[in-house]
Amino acid sequence: MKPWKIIGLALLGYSIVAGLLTEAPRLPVLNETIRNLYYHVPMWFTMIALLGGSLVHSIKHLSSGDLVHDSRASQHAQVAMLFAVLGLLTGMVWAKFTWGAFWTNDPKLNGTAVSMLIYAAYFVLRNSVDDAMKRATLAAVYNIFSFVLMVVFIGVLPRLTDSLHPGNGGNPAFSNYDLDSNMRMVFYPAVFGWILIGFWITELRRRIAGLTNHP
Amino acid sequence: MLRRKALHALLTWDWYADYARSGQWFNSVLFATMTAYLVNMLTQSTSPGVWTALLWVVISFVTLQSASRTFYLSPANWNYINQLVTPMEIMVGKSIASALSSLLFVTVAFLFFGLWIGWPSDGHVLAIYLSVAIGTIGLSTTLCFTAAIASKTQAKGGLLAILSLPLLLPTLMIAGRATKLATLGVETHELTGPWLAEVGMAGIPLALSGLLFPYLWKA
Repeated sequence: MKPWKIIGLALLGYSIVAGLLTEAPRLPVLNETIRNLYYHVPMWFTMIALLGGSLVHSIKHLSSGDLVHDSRASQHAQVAMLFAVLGLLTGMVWAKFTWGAFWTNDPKLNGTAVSMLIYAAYFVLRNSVDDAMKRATLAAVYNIFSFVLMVVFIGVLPRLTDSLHPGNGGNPAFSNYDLDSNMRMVFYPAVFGWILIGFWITELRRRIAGLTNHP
Repeated sequence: MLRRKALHALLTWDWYADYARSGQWFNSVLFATMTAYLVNMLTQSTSPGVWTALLWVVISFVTLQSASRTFYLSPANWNYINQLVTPMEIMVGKSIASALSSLLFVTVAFLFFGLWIGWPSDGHVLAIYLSVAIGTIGLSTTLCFTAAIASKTQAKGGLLAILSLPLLLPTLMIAGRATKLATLGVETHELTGPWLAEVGMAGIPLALSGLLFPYLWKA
């Protein structure tokens, strides 16, 4: 097993256990649900990292014409969507206990839903073209175009409008008032651990695709 | 490098194809009018927020319908155009043509929308129209590029909407915000920020389209 996978497993194991057992700030409304920070937020970091990987492979495909990069771009996007779903589910549970509803009209939630729709459209586009080379080029172009607009949507827009999320629309960020050093010791390992596991899952998908004769 | 002569040739081509030698433009005018009337039939009185939302639903449909024809050309016509201009010029020229057409049809829809549903009592119509116009240009630059992608696939029709609608949301949110502020009658200097954001949202897709279209063109 490669060292980065061992590191990923160790960080993940540590963050899951420490996330449940270490001291967390006692805050009104949030209470013990603040521990969900270790499981919810890393999903988004992992999703963005994987979509970044997908973007890199799309750019590589356009510059080299190699179909292997097209496959890699698609596999990264597929695993990113898995993390998007997990992020959405953990966020919905958290929202129910703190905001009183599973879904609110929050710009960050809308951004996530739109990101998932964009990549669903990416997969629809891939299924609409039979010629492998043409499909790869169209998908790569759409992927690059979409990624930039998605970053604008989930990164910039929530900061311009009111949001229930910390750090947006005038709400203080976690780092400003309640992400204390105890939480940082669990949060950052959780983020890196989940990102490494995300790339590991992508590699497994690539190897399975290789066994079934898809590059 | 963009040549003015090439852009002029593309715009002239689109003028003849859509306006001078065919009645394609009338389909879009009719569509804009019908959509505005349909919304009028479904609603009676509206708050500024609902008014803005309904207006942008109408605009989305109208720009989508207008953009669906952007890259609808026969292979022979494509071969001819490709000899005249570079891929980047095609994209920029088509984006400008699409933006102008959309602006025309959206203006029609906007006028009928105001005529049937009425104007917000506190709003400045010119400020509302400016928000609508800049937003429409933003929508049409995104739609022009997704229309180029959709035109390269076997699947027609629905694919353009599937590819485009999620990508239109950032522009729609910013343009909707600017329009809502204008309907509430805020001062013009307070609208400058949202208008600049709208211009930015029109520029990003246009710049990306210019960079990426040569790859689509090769495909």
